[in-house]
Amino acid sequence: MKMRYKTVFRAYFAWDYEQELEMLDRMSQQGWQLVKGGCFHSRFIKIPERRYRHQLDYRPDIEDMDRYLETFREQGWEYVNSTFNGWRYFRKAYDPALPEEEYQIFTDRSSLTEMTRRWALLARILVAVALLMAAVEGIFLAIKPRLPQLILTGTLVFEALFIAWGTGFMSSPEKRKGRKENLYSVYVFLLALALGFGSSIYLMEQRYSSGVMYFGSIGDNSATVERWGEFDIAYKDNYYFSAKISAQSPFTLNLVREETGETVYTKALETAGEELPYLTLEDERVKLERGSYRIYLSDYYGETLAVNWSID
Amino acid sequence: MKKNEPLSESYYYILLCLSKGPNHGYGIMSMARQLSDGEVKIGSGTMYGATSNLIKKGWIEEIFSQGPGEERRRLYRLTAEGREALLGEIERLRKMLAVAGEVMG
Repeated sequence: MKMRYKTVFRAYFAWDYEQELEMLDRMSQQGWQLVKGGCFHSRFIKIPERRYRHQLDYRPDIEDMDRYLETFREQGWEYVNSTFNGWRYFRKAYDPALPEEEYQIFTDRSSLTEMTRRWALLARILVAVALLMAAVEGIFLAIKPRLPQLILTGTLVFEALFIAWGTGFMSSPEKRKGRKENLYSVYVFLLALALGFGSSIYLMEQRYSSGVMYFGSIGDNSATVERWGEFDIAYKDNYYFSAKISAQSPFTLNLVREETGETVYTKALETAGEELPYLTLEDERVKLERGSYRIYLSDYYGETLAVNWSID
Repeated sequence: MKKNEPLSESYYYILLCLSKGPNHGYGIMSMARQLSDGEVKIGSGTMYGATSNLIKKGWIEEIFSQGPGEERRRLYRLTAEGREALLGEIERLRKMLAVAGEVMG
C-alpha cells in the first residue's frame, strides 16, 4: 500500500504553541500522524487507526539528551523531532480511559514558567539587539535624515515592539487562553520584516553604488587628492558629493556636466600660511542627474587634472 | 545552618521519594502519586527540569544500576546535602504546622 504524506504550511508564534498542539491533536484524530513538526510547516503521514496527543517543550540546551529522552519515554512520551531553534515535539498514544493529566508534561506552574522564561530570554535578546540597532540608526538619522535608514529604523522598532508584545502572552498562560487561531499572522509578520529590511537595503545599495576613487597629484605636488569621489546617492535626483583633498597651494574644483558642458558645482580653496590645508567637501547638496561628469582640479599655476565620473 | 528557600511540591516529593533509596524517574513519579493519594503527578517536563536543577545543586546524583540479567538503568540517589535540605524543609513545615496549631487552636 502506498503511504500518503501531507505537508501543512502553518506557522505559529511561540506564544501560540498551545494552538499548534491543538492542531496536531486534531490532525491525529483525522488520521494524519505527525512525522516532523516545525515552526513554519509540519509533515504528516496518514495512519487512520492511530491517535496521539502532543506536547511541546522549549529547551535549546540539553546537557544530557539520553536522560532527557528517557525521562519522557518512561512516561509513555515518544520523541518526534526538534526544531532548529530548540522546540521538542513529543506524542503519546491516546487512550480515552486515561485522565487528562496524563497528557501534560508540565504539572506545576513553576516548571511551565521556567519553560516560557527560557523562551523569553531569547526574545529579550532579540528585542535588545533590534532596539540597539534602531538606536544606532536613529543617531545617523538625527545627523542626516535619509529614507533607507528611516525605513530600517522603523522596521527594527516594529520588530522589537511586536516580539515584546508577544512575550507578554508567553509569560502568562491565562492571557494565552484567549488568543484566537490565526493561520497567516506569522507569514504576514515575516513579510513585513522582509519588506522593511529588503527595501532599506535596496535603497542603500543604490545610494552607495559609486564607491570611492583614489588619486595622485597634479602639477609639482601642488595639490594631492587624497580621497575623493565618494558620491553618495540620495533619493531620486539629489546626489551628495563628498571628497577629501589635500593641497599645498590654492586650487579650484569644478564639476562639469559632459553632455552640456555646464559647470554644476565649483569650489575654490585658499591656503593659509605654511600649513597643509585640506579641502573637505562633505555632503555638499549638489543636484545632479544621471549622466557623465568631469571633475577638474586646477592649481595655482593653471595646471589641471580631470577625471571622468558617471552616475548610472 | 543556612536557610533554604521553601521547596516546591515536586522538588519536595522527589527528595522524599529518594530518601528511601535510589529510584528512577518513573519510580519517583508513581511513588509520589501513591504517597499523595493521586494529588501529585510529576510530568516528564517537570521531572527533567527538577532533576536537572537538583543535580546542579548537588542534592541528588545520577547512578547506573546493573543487576544480574538486568539492563543498565539510570537511577537518582539522594546525596548527604540533599538529605540535609529535605530534613530542613520537613523541620520548616513542622514549625509552620505547630504555629498553625497554636493560632487556630
